[in-house]
Amino acid sequence: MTAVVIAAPKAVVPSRAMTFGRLLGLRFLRALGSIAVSLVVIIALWYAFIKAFGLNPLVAKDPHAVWKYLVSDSSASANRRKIESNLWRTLADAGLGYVAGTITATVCAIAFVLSRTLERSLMPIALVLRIMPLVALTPLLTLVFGRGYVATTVIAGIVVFFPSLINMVFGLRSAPQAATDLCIAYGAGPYTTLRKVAIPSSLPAFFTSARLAVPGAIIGALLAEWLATGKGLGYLMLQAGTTFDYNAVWAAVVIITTVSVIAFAFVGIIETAVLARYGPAPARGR
Amino acid sequence: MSNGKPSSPVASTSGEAPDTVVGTDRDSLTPSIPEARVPQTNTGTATGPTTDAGAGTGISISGLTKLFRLGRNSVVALDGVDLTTPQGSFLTLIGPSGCGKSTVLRILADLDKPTAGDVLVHGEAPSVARRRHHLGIAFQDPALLPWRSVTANIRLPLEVSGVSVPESTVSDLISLVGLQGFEKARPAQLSGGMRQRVAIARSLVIQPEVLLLDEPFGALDDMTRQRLNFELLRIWTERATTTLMVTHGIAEAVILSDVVAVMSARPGRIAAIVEIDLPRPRTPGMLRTPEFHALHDQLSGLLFSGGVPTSGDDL
Repeated sequence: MTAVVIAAPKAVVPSRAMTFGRLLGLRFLRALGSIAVSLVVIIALWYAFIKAFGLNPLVAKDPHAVWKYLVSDSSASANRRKIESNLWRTLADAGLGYVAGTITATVCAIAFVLSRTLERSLMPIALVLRIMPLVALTPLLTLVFGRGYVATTVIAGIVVFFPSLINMVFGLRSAPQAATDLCIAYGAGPYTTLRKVAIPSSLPAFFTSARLAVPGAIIGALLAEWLATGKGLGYLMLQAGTTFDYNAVWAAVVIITTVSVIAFAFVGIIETAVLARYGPAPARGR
Repeated sequence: MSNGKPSSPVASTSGEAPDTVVGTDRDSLTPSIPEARVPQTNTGTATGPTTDAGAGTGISISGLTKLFRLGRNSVVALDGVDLTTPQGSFLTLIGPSGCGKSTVLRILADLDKPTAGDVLVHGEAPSVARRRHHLGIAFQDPALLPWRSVTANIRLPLEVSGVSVPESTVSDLISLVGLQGFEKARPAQLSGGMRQRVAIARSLVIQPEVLLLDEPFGALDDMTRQRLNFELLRIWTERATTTLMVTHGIAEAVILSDVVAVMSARPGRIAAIVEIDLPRPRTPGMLRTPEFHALHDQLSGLLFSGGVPTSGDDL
């Protein structure tokens, strides 16, 4: 009898799917809009700061100087090539660090969720990695891991690791207890429950932590380049600073900040898509 | 109880259950039944229908005690609970909040361990029944996975247990609970009643020998709840699965069950066992019969008129 009652609103399903696609498009436009607004605000603040503190224009370059350095000067294309080649190196360093840090954090988070004992014994070590100043740690890491990709990966990975670990443990534990109980009652072991319930439930937390971790990896990569490897934008800034080439320093800062903002926004878009599918029902509204 | 237990697809029960287990189970049960009964209830018929077709014991609980630790103190959640039902019968536990009825269900599902006492479902320890995928379960929270479609949610127990059923089973269940056309819908697109139907369909998909329902309709409004009660009744009549339901709803308990066990709180004990002798199939029309009201009144009396101390009395 009830079949008749509820058979009517069939059309609901496809129309909801379209709404989901539109939501993503809207989110993308909004991300572009917020990037544009942030750029305007940053440039305005930049000018205001130099004016307000009367900073020396030899050191404190304004947006116009950066524009000239990158776009309108006669040496602009050579400048751009220099920045660009170093940018790729920094992005590779940050990317490797992000991947390594995230994989390590994920593996540890899964191990911690499966075993409280492991969590109790290893969490303090993870915390130590977080608390020790990376600047102090870097020379030691350089001795151990050399001055190549391994060193930058480890240093950027450490920046990524701890916040990702905390978020992932939280995400894996956020799985609804009833769903976990359900799997157990049907004879599932801890690994099956993890695979079917906990890991998909943790995806929103994973992308939330990625929004913090991606810029974190870039900072880690710059630091590693600055202190250890002598390559990439981190080193370019150090070198340009010591040779009074402040235009290059500021241009590098502008470029790497822009890339960070874009990466942050991009992860935000993926997060929205994942949240719409894997998030708890109330999070996506009706 | 007119329906015999149909030969289930998981037909190997008798082969799997060791003889010794069945033996001890029967021995320990027989004396425990009269103790649990209160005098005014009909004691004779609970075991009466079971004898036909050699049906064995469905759920058997004897001397079940459960202590929970709360800091330094321990709280007695269950104190010597005895209950027995034949295979293919519908048993309901009813009682005030905190009387431990959900704990009984969780112990049967092997989600909690008893402190003392013996529990068997179809002659198997819960841990064995669980690992052999003989249990079906549904909670008050439908616990649907939001990223899975209706079909994929119903299939979850199959994926988790490795049990395989014909492809038609899932689609049959979907039409059984009246969700045709919603196969690809996600839980967020469904109403509360529809989500609960998905949970009921999911609890049946591995064709369990024992079905455990923990307030399956507790979060729903009265109209939806009543409609789903009769749907559950219809589904249950087709399969005659041994069922234990936990509920607060007296009407629901009367209309669905063969036996209703009334529990008292702190410590959780069986206060009375009431035989529901309404004929099957049960119909919505029975809700207006004097027999229904007599049973309803009897249960209300046991629950509210001092027969059962509520959880507020102690602690």
